[in-house]
Amino acid sequence: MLTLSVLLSTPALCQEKTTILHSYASDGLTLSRADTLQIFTGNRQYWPDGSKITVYMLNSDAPLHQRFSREHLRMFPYQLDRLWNQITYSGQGEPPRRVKNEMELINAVMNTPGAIGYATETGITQYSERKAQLQ
Amino acid sequence: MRMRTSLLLAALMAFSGQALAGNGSWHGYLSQGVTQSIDSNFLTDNESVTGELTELGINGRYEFDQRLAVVGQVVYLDGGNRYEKGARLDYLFVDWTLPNLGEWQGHLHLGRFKNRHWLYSATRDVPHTRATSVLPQSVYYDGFRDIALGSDGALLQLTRLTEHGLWEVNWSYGRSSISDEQTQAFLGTNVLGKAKQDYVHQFSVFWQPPSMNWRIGGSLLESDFRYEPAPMDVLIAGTTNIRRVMLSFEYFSKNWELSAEFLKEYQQDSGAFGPDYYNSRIGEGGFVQLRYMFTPQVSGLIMQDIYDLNRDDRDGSMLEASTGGVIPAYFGYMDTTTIGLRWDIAPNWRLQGEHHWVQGGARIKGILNPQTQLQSQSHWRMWAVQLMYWF
Repeated sequence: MLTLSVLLSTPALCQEKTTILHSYASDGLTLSRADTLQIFTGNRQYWPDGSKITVYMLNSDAPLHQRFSREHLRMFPYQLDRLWNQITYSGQGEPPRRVKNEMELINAVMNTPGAIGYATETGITQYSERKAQLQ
Repeated sequence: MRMRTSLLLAALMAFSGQALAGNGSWHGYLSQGVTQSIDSNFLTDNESVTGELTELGINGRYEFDQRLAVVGQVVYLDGGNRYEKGARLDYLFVDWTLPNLGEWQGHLHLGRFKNRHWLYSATRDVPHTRATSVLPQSVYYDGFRDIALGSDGALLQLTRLTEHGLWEVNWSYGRSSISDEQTQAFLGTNVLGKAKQDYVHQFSVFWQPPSMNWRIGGSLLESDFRYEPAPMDVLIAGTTNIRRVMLSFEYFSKNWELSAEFLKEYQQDSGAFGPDYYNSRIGEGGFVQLRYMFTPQVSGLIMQDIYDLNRDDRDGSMLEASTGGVIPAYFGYMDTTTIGLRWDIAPNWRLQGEHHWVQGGARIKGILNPQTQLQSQSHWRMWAVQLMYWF
Protein backbone atom coordinates (compact mmCIF):
# COMPACT_ATOMS: atom_id res chain seq x y z
CA MET A 1 0.00 0.00 0.00
CA LEU A 2 2.79 2.36 0.91
CA THR A 3 4.58 1.58 -2.33
CA LEU A 4 1.47 2.35 -4.34
CA SER A 5 0.95 5.70 -2.65
CA VAL A 6 4.51 6.70 -3.40
CA LEU A 7 4.28 5.61 -7.00
CA LEU A 8 1.05 7.48 -7.64
CA SER A 9 2.51 10.68 -6.33
CA THR A 10 5.51 10.67 -8.66
CA PRO A 11 5.27 13.22 -11.50
CA ALA A 12 6.14 10.67 -14.18
CA LEU A 13 3.17 8.46 -13.31
CA CYS A 14 0.80 11.41 -13.19
CA GLN A 15 1.22 11.62 -16.96
CA GLU A 16 0.41 7.96 -17.50
CA LYS A 17 -2.71 7.18 -19.52
CA THR A 18 -5.55 5.26 -17.95
CA THR A 19 -6.85 1.99 -19.36
CA ILE A 20 -10.37 0.62 -19.19
CA LEU A 21 -10.52 -2.84 -17.68
CA HIS A 22 -13.52 -5.10 -17.37
CA SER A 23 -14.35 -8.64 -16.43
CA TYR A 24 -17.14 -9.26 -18.94
CA ALA A 25 -16.60 -12.77 -20.28
CA SER A 26 -16.86 -12.27 -24.01
CA ASP A 27 -14.40 -12.82 -26.82
CA GLY A 28 -13.44 -9.86 -28.93
CA LEU A 29 -15.44 -7.20 -27.09
CA THR A 30 -14.04 -3.80 -27.90
CA LEU A 31 -15.42 -0.73 -26.25
CA SER A 32 -15.61 2.47 -28.30
CA ARG A 33 -15.46 5.86 -26.63
CA ALA A 34 -19.25 6.06 -26.97
CA ASP A 35 -19.60 2.66 -25.27
CA THR A 36 -17.34 3.76 -22.42
CA LEU A 37 -19.23 7.02 -22.06
CA GLN A 38 -22.58 5.23 -22.05
CA ILE A 39 -21.48 2.80 -19.36
CA PHE A 40 -19.75 5.29 -17.07
CA THR A 41 -22.61 7.78 -17.32
CA GLY A 42 -25.34 5.22 -16.59
CA ASN A 43 -26.87 5.19 -20.06
CA ARG A 44 -26.02 1.53 -20.47
CA GLN A 45 -26.37 -0.73 -17.45
CA TYR A 46 -26.30 -4.21 -19.00
CA TRP A 47 -23.82 -6.13 -21.16
CA PRO A 48 -24.93 -7.53 -24.54
CA ASP A 49 -25.70 -10.94 -22.97
CA GLY A 50 -28.10 -9.33 -20.47
CA SER A 51 -25.83 -9.51 -17.44
CA LYS A 52 -25.58 -6.48 -15.17
CA ILE A 53 -22.66 -4.08 -15.49
CA THR A 54 -21.06 -3.20 -12.17
CA VAL A 55 -19.13 0.06 -12.40
CA TYR A 56 -16.20 0.67 -10.05
CA MET A 57 -14.60 4.07 -9.51
CA LEU A 58 -12.23 5.83 -7.17
CA ASN A 59 -13.37 8.79 -5.09
CA SER A 60 -13.68 12.03 -7.03
CA ASP A 61 -10.64 13.67 -5.49
CA ALA A 62 -8.30 10.82 -6.56
CA PRO A 63 -5.85 12.01 -9.26
CA LEU A 64 -6.34 8.78 -11.19
CA HIS A 65 -10.12 9.31 -11.26
CA GLN A 66 -9.64 12.87 -12.45
CA ARG A 67 -7.40 11.70 -15.30
CA PHE A 68 -9.83 8.94 -16.25
CA SER A 69 -12.77 11.37 -16.29
CA ARG A 70 -10.98 13.77 -18.60
CA GLU A 71 -9.33 11.18 -20.88
CA HIS A 72 -12.22 8.80 -21.43
CA LEU A 73 -15.34 10.82 -20.69
CA ARG A 74 -14.17 14.40 -21.30
CA MET A 75 -15.95 15.31 -18.10
CA PHE A 76 -14.88 16.85 -14.83
CA PRO A 77 -15.33 14.67 -11.76
CA TYR A 78 -17.94 17.03 -10.31
CA GLN A 79 -20.00 16.67 -13.53
CA LEU A 80 -19.86 12.91 -13.22
CA ASP A 81 -20.80 13.04 -9.53
CA ARG A 82 -23.80 15.22 -10.28
CA LEU A 83 -24.93 13.00 -13.11
CA TRP A 84 -24.78 9.88 -10.94
CA ASN A 85 -26.58 11.65 -8.11
CA GLN A 86 -29.37 12.54 -10.50
CA ILE A 87 -29.50 8.98 -11.82
CA THR A 88 -29.49 7.47 -8.34
CA TYR A 89 -31.99 9.75 -6.65
CA SER A 90 -34.44 9.91 -9.54
CA GLY A 91 -34.53 6.12 -9.64
CA GLN A 92 -32.72 5.65 -12.92
CA GLY A 93 -30.02 3.28 -11.76
CA GLU A 94 -27.44 2.12 -9.28
CA PRO A 95 -24.41 4.37 -8.68
CA PRO A 96 -20.83 3.18 -9.22
CA ARG A 97 -19.18 1.40 -6.34
CA ARG A 98 -16.39 3.50 -4.89
CA VAL A 99 -13.11 2.01 -3.74
CA LYS A 100 -10.17 3.61 -2.00
CA ASN A 101 -7.25 3.08 -4.36
CA GLU A 102 -6.13 1.65 -7.66
CA MET A 103 -5.19 -1.78 -6.28
CA GLU A 104 -8.64 -2.15 -4.71
CA LEU A 105 -10.23 -1.05 -7.94
CA ILE A 106 -8.35 -3.60 -10.05
CA ASN A 107 -9.04 -6.29 -7.49
CA ALA A 108 -12.75 -5.46 -7.40
CA VAL A 109 -13.09 -5.54 -11.18
CA MET A 110 -11.14 -8.78 -11.47
CA ASN A 111 -13.26 -10.46 -8.79
CA THR A 112 -16.67 -9.28 -9.96
CA PRO A 113 -18.07 -10.83 -13.14
CA GLY A 114 -19.41 -8.13 -15.44
CA ALA A 115 -17.52 -5.36 -13.67
CA ILE A 116 -15.78 -2.43 -15.31
CA GLY A 117 -13.28 0.11 -14.04
CA TYR A 118 -10.01 1.76 -14.97
CA ALA A 119 -6.35 1.63 -14.02
CA THR A 120 -2.90 2.54 -15.22
CA GLU A 121 -0.77 -0.06 -16.95
CA THR A 122 1.73 0.31 -14.12
CA GLY A 123 -1.02 -0.41 -11.65
CA ILE A 124 -2.11 -3.51 -13.53
CA THR A 125 1.50 -4.75 -13.70
CA GLN A 126 1.94 -4.14 -10.00
CA TYR A 127 -1.30 -5.92 -9.20
CA SER A 128 -0.36 -8.97 -11.26
CA GLU A 129 3.06 -9.15 -9.61
CA ARG A 130 1.45 -9.15 -6.20
CA LYS A 131 -0.97 -11.85 -7.26
CA ALA A 132 1.91 -13.92 -8.60
CA GLN A 133 3.76 -13.56 -5.29
CA LEU A 134 0.72 -14.75 -3.40
CA GLN A 135 0.37 -17.87 -5.56
CA MET B 1 2.57 -2.18 -23.98
CA ARG B 2 -1.15 -2.48 -24.86
CA MET B 3 -0.66 -6.14 -25.83
CA ARG B 4 1.09 -6.76 -22.55
CA THR B 5 -1.74 -5.14 -20.67
CA SER B 6 -4.28 -7.32 -22.48
CA LEU B 7 -2.33 -10.44 -21.62
CA LEU B 8 -2.08 -9.35 -18.04
CA LEU B 9 -5.81 -8.72 -17.92
CA ALA B 10 -6.49 -12.14 -19.40
CA ALA B 11 -4.22 -13.72 -16.83
CA LEU B 12 -5.84 -11.82 -14.02
CA MET B 13 -9.24 -13.13 -15.05
CA ALA B 14 -8.10 -16.47 -13.73
CA PHE B 15 -8.35 -15.01 -10.26
CA SER B 16 -11.86 -13.78 -10.73
CA GLY B 17 -14.38 -14.56 -8.02
CA GLN B 18 -18.15 -14.28 -7.66
CA ALA B 19 -20.29 -11.23 -8.29
CA LEU B 20 -22.10 -9.47 -5.56
CA ALA B 21 -25.61 -10.73 -6.24
CA GLY B 22 -28.90 -8.85 -6.02
CA ASN B 23 -31.35 -6.97 -8.23
CA GLY B 24 -32.50 -4.51 -5.64
CA SER B 25 -30.85 -1.40 -4.31
CA TRP B 26 -31.81 1.41 -2.03
CA HIS B 27 -30.42 4.85 -1.21
CA GLY B 28 -31.39 7.85 0.82
CA TYR B 29 -30.53 11.23 2.23
CA LEU B 30 -30.95 13.18 5.45
CA SER B 31 -30.65 16.91 5.82
CA GLN B 32 -31.44 19.52 8.40
CA GLY B 33 -31.07 23.24 8.15
CA VAL B 34 -31.61 26.49 9.98
CA THR B 35 -33.39 29.25 8.13
CA GLN B 36 -35.04 32.65 8.39
CA SER B 37 -36.81 35.15 6.19
CA ILE B 38 -36.67 38.80 7.20
CA ASP B 39 -39.39 41.30 6.22
CA SER B 40 -41.32 38.48 4.60
CA ASN B 41 -43.07 35.26 5.59
CA PHE B 42 -41.70 33.45 2.53
CA LEU B 43 -39.80 30.93 4.68
CA THR B 44 -40.70 31.58 8.30
CA ASP B 45 -43.31 33.55 10.24
CA ASN B 46 -42.49 36.62 12.33
CA GLU B 47 -38.84 36.60 11.24
CA SER B 48 -38.22 33.54 13.39
CA VAL B 49 -34.99 31.60 13.05
CA THR B 50 -36.23 28.04 12.80
CA GLY B 51 -35.27 24.52 11.82
CA GLU B 52 -38.00 24.41 9.17
CA LEU B 53 -35.61 23.05 6.57
CA THR B 54 -35.78 19.29 6.79
CA GLU B 55 -35.50 16.96 3.84
CA LEU B 56 -35.41 13.20 4.27
CA GLY B 57 -35.81 10.60 1.57
CA ILE B 58 -35.39 6.95 0.88
CA ASN B 59 -35.64 5.31 -2.51
CA GLY B 60 -35.50 1.82 -3.88
CA ARG B 61 -35.08 0.23 -7.27
CA TYR B 62 -35.86 -3.39 -8.06
CA GLU B 63 -34.83 -4.75 -11.45
CA PHE B 64 -36.72 -7.82 -12.64
CA ASP B 65 -34.44 -8.08 -15.67
CA GLN B 66 -32.61 -5.73 -18.02
CA ARG B 67 -35.92 -4.40 -19.40
CA LEU B 68 -38.14 -3.94 -16.39
CA ALA B 69 -37.68 -2.25 -13.02
CA VAL B 70 -39.89 -0.76 -10.32
CA VAL B 71 -38.67 2.40 -8.66
CA GLY B 72 -39.98 4.45 -5.77
CA GLN B 73 -39.08 7.18 -3.32
CA VAL B 74 -40.73 8.42 -0.16
CA VAL B 75 -39.78 11.79 1.27
CA TYR B 76 -40.48 13.87 4.34
CA LEU B 77 -40.19 17.60 3.73
CA ASP B 78 -40.41 20.71 5.84
CA GLY B 79 -39.69 23.83 3.82
CA GLY B 80 -41.24 26.36 6.15
CA ASN B 81 -44.02 28.33 4.48
CA ARG B 82 -42.94 27.36 0.97
CA TYR B 83 -45.02 24.18 0.77
CA GLU B 84 -46.96 21.76 2.95
CA LYS B 85 -44.95 19.97 5.60
CA GLY B 86 -45.19 16.18 5.68
CA ALA B 87 -44.44 12.85 4.06
CA ARG B 88 -45.05 12.27 0.36
CA LEU B 89 -44.77 9.53 -2.17
CA ASP B 90 -42.31 11.35 -4.38
CA TYR B 91 -42.30 8.85 -7.21
CA LEU B 92 -43.33 5.28 -7.89
CA PHE B 93 -43.11 4.06 -11.45
CA VAL B 94 -42.36 1.14 -13.69
CA ASP B 95 -39.18 1.78 -15.66
CA TRP B 96 -39.42 -0.10 -18.93
CA THR B 97 -36.27 -0.09 -21.05
CA LEU B 98 -37.47 -0.07 -24.65
CA PRO B 99 -35.77 -1.94 -27.50
CA ASN B 100 -33.21 0.26 -29.21
CA LEU B 101 -34.43 2.26 -32.19
CA GLY B 102 -31.26 2.55 -34.26
CA GLU B 103 -28.90 4.54 -32.06
CA TRP B 104 -31.71 5.72 -29.79
CA GLN B 105 -32.16 4.17 -26.38
CA GLY B 106 -35.52 4.56 -24.72
CA HIS B 107 -37.16 4.37 -21.32
CA LEU B 108 -40.86 4.51 -20.60
CA HIS B 109 -41.88 5.45 -17.06
CA LEU B 110 -45.43 4.56 -16.06
CA GLY B 111 -46.86 5.66 -12.72
CA ARG B 112 -45.87 8.68 -10.65
CA PHE B 113 -42.88 9.83 -12.67
CA LYS B 114 -40.36 12.60 -12.15
CA ASN B 115 -40.29 15.78 -14.20
CA ARG B 116 -37.08 15.48 -16.25
CA HIS B 117 -37.63 18.56 -18.39
CA TRP B 118 -35.70 21.22 -16.42
CA LEU B 119 -32.16 21.31 -15.06
CA TYR B 120 -33.00 20.60 -11.42
CA SER B 121 -36.52 19.21 -11.64
CA ALA B 122 -35.75 15.48 -11.49
CA THR B 123 -34.04 15.73 -8.12
CA ARG B 124 -35.48 18.95 -6.80
CA ASP B 125 -36.09 17.42 -3.35
CA VAL B 126 -32.60 16.01 -3.02
CA PRO B 127 -30.47 18.59 -1.21
CA HIS B 128 -27.05 17.53 -2.44
CA THR B 129 -28.11 17.67 -6.09
CA ARG B 130 -29.07 21.36 -5.88
CA ALA B 131 -26.87 24.39 -5.95
CA THR B 132 -28.93 26.15 -3.26
CA SER B 133 -31.49 25.11 -0.66
CA VAL B 134 -33.99 27.59 -2.09
CA LEU B 135 -33.93 27.21 -5.87
CA PRO B 136 -34.43 30.21 -8.18
CA GLN B 137 -38.13 30.91 -7.83
CA SER B 138 -38.67 32.22 -11.35
CA VAL B 139 -38.40 28.65 -12.66
CA TYR B 140 -38.72 26.52 -9.50
CA TYR B 141 -41.62 28.30 -7.83
CA ASP B 142 -42.06 26.45 -4.54
CA GLY B 143 -45.75 27.31 -4.35
CA PHE B 144 -46.14 25.13 -7.43
CA ARG B 145 -43.66 22.54 -6.25
CA ASP B 146 -45.87 19.48 -5.85
CA ILE B 147 -47.41 20.03 -9.28
CA ALA B 148 -44.10 20.68 -11.02
CA LEU B 149 -42.11 17.84 -9.45
CA GLY B 150 -43.78 15.04 -11.32
CA SER B 151 -47.14 13.67 -12.33
CA ASP B 152 -49.22 10.53 -12.43
CA GLY B 153 -49.02 9.34 -16.02
CA ALA B 154 -46.31 8.43 -18.50
CA LEU B 155 -42.89 9.74 -19.44
CA LEU B 156 -40.89 8.69 -22.48
CA GLN B 157 -37.16 9.36 -22.45
CA LEU B 158 -34.97 8.85 -25.52
CA THR B 159 -31.20 9.27 -25.55
CA ARG B 160 -28.72 9.02 -28.40
CA LEU B 161 -25.02 9.07 -27.64
CA THR B 162 -22.64 9.08 -30.57
CA GLU B 163 -19.41 10.75 -31.62
CA HIS B 164 -21.52 13.76 -32.52
CA GLY B 165 -22.79 14.33 -29.01
CA LEU B 166 -25.49 13.34 -26.60
CA TRP B 167 -29.16 13.94 -27.39
CA GLU B 168 -31.90 13.59 -24.82
CA VAL B 169 -35.57 13.87 -25.73
CA ASN B 170 -38.31 13.71 -23.08
CA TRP B 171 -42.07 13.64 -23.48
CA SER B 172 -44.59 13.30 -20.67
CA TYR B 173 -48.30 13.45 -20.03
CA GLY B 174 -50.02 13.25 -16.67
CA ARG B 175 -51.70 15.08 -13.85
CA SER B 176 -51.18 15.90 -10.17
CA SER B 177 -53.63 16.35 -7.37
CA ILE B 178 -53.87 19.77 -5.76
CA SER B 179 -54.33 19.99 -2.01
CA ASP B 180 -56.80 22.28 -0.24
CA GLU B 181 -53.84 24.20 1.15
CA GLN B 182 -52.51 24.84 -2.36
CA THR B 183 -55.97 25.78 -3.61
CA GLN B 184 -56.28 28.38 -0.87
CA ALA B 185 -52.78 29.68 -1.51
CA PHE B 186 -53.65 30.45 -5.11
CA LEU B 187 -57.29 31.46 -4.83
CA GLY B 188 -57.65 32.84 -1.32
CA THR B 189 -58.10 31.45 2.16
CA ASN B 190 -61.90 31.71 2.12
CA VAL B 191 -62.53 29.43 -0.87
CA LEU B 192 -64.33 26.15 -0.18
CA GLY B 193 -64.15 24.33 -3.51
CA LYS B 194 -61.47 22.20 -5.15
CA ALA B 195 -58.84 23.14 -7.73
CA LYS B 196 -57.91 20.29 -10.05
CA GLN B 197 -55.32 19.79 -12.73
CA ASP B 198 -56.83 18.29 -15.87
CA TYR B 199 -53.47 17.42 -17.42
CA VAL B 200 -49.89 18.57 -17.89
CA HIS B 201 -48.20 17.87 -21.21
CA GLN B 202 -44.44 18.44 -21.49
CA PHE B 203 -41.71 18.01 -24.07
CA SER B 204 -38.00 18.78 -23.87
CA VAL B 205 -34.84 18.35 -25.92
CA PHE B 206 -31.25 18.61 -24.64
CA TRP B 207 -27.99 18.38 -26.54
CA GLN B 208 -24.45 18.05 -25.22
CA PRO B 209 -21.55 18.25 -27.70
CA PRO B 210 -18.75 15.66 -27.86
CA SER B 211 -16.59 17.99 -25.76
CA MET B 212 -19.17 17.42 -22.96
CA ASN B 213 -18.39 20.83 -21.47
CA TRP B 214 -21.74 22.45 -22.18
CA ARG B 215 -25.36 21.47 -22.55
CA ILE B 216 -28.32 23.28 -24.00
CA GLY B 217 -31.98 22.44 -23.97
CA GLY B 218 -35.49 23.68 -24.51
CA SER B 219 -38.79 22.63 -23.01
CA LEU B 220 -42.50 23.20 -23.53
CA LEU B 221 -45.30 22.76 -21.01
CA GLU B 222 -49.05 23.02 -21.32
CA SER B 223 -51.47 22.46 -18.49
CA ASP B 224 -55.16 23.02 -17.79
CA PHE B 225 -56.64 23.58 -14.35
CA ARG B 226 -60.21 24.01 -13.23
CA TYR B 227 -61.94 25.17 -10.10
CA GLU B 228 -64.97 23.25 -8.87
CA PRO B 229 -66.86 25.39 -6.35
CA ALA B 230 -68.52 24.06 -3.23
CA PRO B 231 -72.35 24.47 -3.05
CA MET B 232 -71.88 27.57 -0.89
CA ASP B 233 -68.72 29.25 -2.11
CA VAL B 234 -67.26 32.69 -2.70
CA LEU B 235 -66.04 31.57 -6.15
CA ILE B 236 -67.79 30.08 -9.15
CA ALA B 237 -66.44 27.49 -11.59
CA GLY B 238 -63.38 28.59 -13.51
CA THR B 239 -60.49 27.43 -15.65
CA THR B 240 -56.83 28.29 -16.10
CA ASN B 241 -54.54 27.39 -18.97
CA ILE B 242 -50.77 27.67 -18.56
CA ARG B 243 -48.17 27.30 -21.28
CA ARG B 244 -44.48 27.55 -20.49
CA VAL B 245 -41.56 27.83 -22.90
CA MET B 246 -38.11 27.50 -21.41
CA LEU B 247 -34.47 27.47 -22.44
CA SER B 248 -31.82 25.81 -20.28
CA PHE B 249 -28.05 26.08 -20.49
CA GLU B 250 -25.06 24.72 -18.56
CA TYR B 251 -21.33 25.25 -19.04
CA PHE B 252 -18.69 23.25 -17.20
CA SER B 253 -15.10 24.28 -16.65
CA LYS B 254 -12.43 22.88 -14.39
CA ASN B 255 -12.89 25.44 -11.62
CA TRP B 256 -16.25 27.00 -12.40
CA GLU B 257 -19.62 26.27 -13.89
CA LEU B 258 -22.43 28.38 -15.23
CA SER B 259 -26.09 27.45 -15.43
CA ALA B 260 -29.03 29.45 -16.67
CA GLU B 261 -32.70 28.98 -17.47
CA PHE B 262 -35.12 31.46 -19.02
CA LEU B 263 -38.87 31.10 -19.22
CA LYS B 264 -41.89 32.67 -20.77
CA GLU B 265 -45.18 31.66 -19.18
CA TYR B 266 -48.56 32.30 -20.78
CA GLN B 267 -51.53 32.17 -18.41
CA GLN B 268 -55.23 32.59 -19.17
CA ASP B 269 -57.84 32.57 -16.40
CA SER B 270 -61.61 32.43 -17.00
CA GLY B 271 -64.47 32.48 -14.52
CA ALA B 272 -63.91 31.70 -10.82
CA PHE B 273 -64.06 35.36 -9.66
CA GLY B 274 -67.12 36.15 -11.82
CA PRO B 275 -68.98 34.85 -14.89
CA ASP B 276 -67.26 37.34 -17.19
CA TYR B 277 -63.87 37.34 -15.48
CA TYR B 278 -61.01 36.84 -17.94
CA ASN B 279 -57.34 37.50 -17.38
CA SER B 280 -54.49 36.91 -19.77
CA ARG B 281 -50.85 37.58 -18.96
CA ILE B 282 -47.37 36.58 -19.98
CA GLY B 283 -44.85 36.12 -17.20
CA GLU B 284 -41.14 36.26 -17.96
CA GLY B 285 -38.04 35.47 -15.99
CA GLY B 286 -35.00 33.35 -15.47
CA PHE B 287 -31.76 32.96 -13.60
CA VAL B 288 -28.03 32.93 -14.20
CA GLN B 289 -25.90 31.10 -11.66
CA LEU B 290 -22.12 30.92 -11.40
CA ARG B 291 -20.32 28.52 -9.09
CA TYR B 292 -16.58 28.78 -8.53
CA MET B 293 -14.66 25.90 -6.99
CA PHE B 294 -11.91 27.26 -4.76
CA THR B 295 -10.86 23.68 -4.02
CA PRO B 296 -12.57 20.37 -4.89
CA GLN B 297 -14.26 20.59 -1.47
CA VAL B 298 -15.12 24.29 -1.20
CA SER B 299 -17.07 26.36 -3.69
CA GLY B 300 -18.87 29.68 -3.80
CA LEU B 301 -21.96 30.68 -5.73
CA ILE B 302 -23.50 33.86 -7.04
CA MET B 303 -26.90 33.98 -8.70
CA GLN B 304 -29.28 36.51 -10.17
CA ASP B 305 -32.90 35.51 -10.56
CA ILE B 306 -35.63 37.73 -12.02
CA TYR B 307 -39.33 37.25 -12.57
CA ASP B 308 -42.12 39.51 -13.80
CA LEU B 309 -45.66 38.26 -13.31
CA ASN B 310 -46.84 40.21 -16.34
CA ARG B 311 -44.43 41.48 -18.96
CA ASP B 312 -46.87 44.32 -19.76
CA ASP B 313 -46.82 45.38 -16.10
CA ARG B 314 -43.23 44.90 -14.99
CA ASP B 315 -43.50 47.36 -12.08
CA GLY B 316 -46.80 45.86 -10.87
CA SER B 317 -48.67 49.18 -11.03
CA MET B 318 -51.53 47.69 -13.06
CA LEU B 319 -51.83 44.85 -10.56
CA GLU B 320 -52.14 47.29 -7.70
CA ALA B 321 -54.65 49.45 -9.58
CA SER B 322 -56.78 46.48 -10.68
CA THR B 323 -57.10 45.28 -7.07
CA GLY B 324 -57.95 48.71 -5.74
CA GLY B 325 -54.63 48.87 -3.92
CA VAL B 326 -55.23 45.64 -2.01
CA ILE B 327 -52.24 43.90 -3.61
CA PRO B 328 -49.17 46.19 -3.56
CA ALA B 329 -47.38 46.76 -6.86
CA TYR B 330 -44.26 44.90 -5.71
CA PHE B 331 -46.18 41.62 -5.86
CA GLY B 332 -45.92 41.98 -9.64
CA TYR B 333 -42.24 41.09 -9.75
CA MET B 334 -39.51 39.36 -7.78
CA ASP B 335 -35.78 39.87 -8.34
CA THR B 336 -33.29 37.98 -6.21
CA THR B 337 -29.54 38.17 -5.74
CA THR B 338 -28.00 35.16 -4.01
CA ILE B 339 -24.59 34.25 -2.68
CA GLY B 340 -23.75 30.81 -1.36
CA LEU B 341 -20.94 28.75 0.05
CA ARG B 342 -20.55 24.98 -0.04
CA TRP B 343 -18.17 22.77 1.92
CA ASP B 344 -17.91 19.05 1.26
CA ILE B 345 -16.79 18.05 4.72
CA ALA B 346 -16.26 14.39 3.90
CA PRO B 347 -17.51 11.96 1.23
CA ASN B 348 -21.33 12.07 1.33
CA TRP B 349 -21.39 14.95 3.84
CA ARG B 350 -21.96 18.58 2.87
CA LEU B 351 -22.57 21.89 4.63
CA GLN B 352 -24.16 24.58 2.48
CA GLY B 353 -25.12 28.14 3.30
CA GLU B 354 -26.80 30.89 1.30
CA HIS B 355 -28.18 34.40 1.59
CA HIS B 356 -30.80 35.90 -0.70
CA TRP B 357 -31.61 39.60 -1.14
CA VAL B 358 -35.04 39.97 -2.70
CA GLN B 359 -37.02 42.80 -4.25
CA GLY B 360 -40.71 42.11 -4.77
CA GLY B 361 -43.08 39.30 -3.91
CA ALA B 362 -44.44 37.76 -7.11
CA ARG B 363 -43.32 34.26 -6.07
CA ILE B 364 -44.41 34.47 -2.45
CA LYS B 365 -47.09 31.88 -1.90
CA GLY B 366 -50.51 33.19 -0.93
CA ILE B 367 -50.44 36.48 -2.80
CA LEU B 368 -54.22 36.81 -2.23
CA ASN B 369 -53.85 36.23 1.50
CA PRO B 370 -54.08 39.54 3.43
CA GLN B 371 -51.64 38.19 6.00
CA THR B 372 -49.06 37.58 3.28
CA GLN B 373 -49.59 41.05 1.89
CA LEU B 374 -49.07 42.57 5.33
CA GLN B 375 -46.00 40.59 6.29
CA SER B 376 -44.07 40.90 3.03
CA GLN B 377 -42.23 44.12 2.39
CA SER B 378 -40.97 45.24 -1.00
CA HIS B 379 -37.36 44.49 0.00
CA TRP B 380 -36.70 41.42 2.09
CA ARG B 381 -34.05 38.80 2.78
CA MET B 382 -33.71 35.14 3.60
CA TRP B 383 -30.89 32.81 4.50
CA ALA B 384 -30.36 29.13 5.13
CA VAL B 385 -27.62 26.83 6.35
CA GLN B 386 -28.12 23.15 5.66
CA LEU B 387 -26.18 20.05 6.67
CA MET B 388 -26.75 17.05 4.43
CA TYR B 389 -25.77 13.40 4.31
CA TRP B 390 -26.57 10.89 1.59
CA PHE B 391 -26.06 7.18 1.15
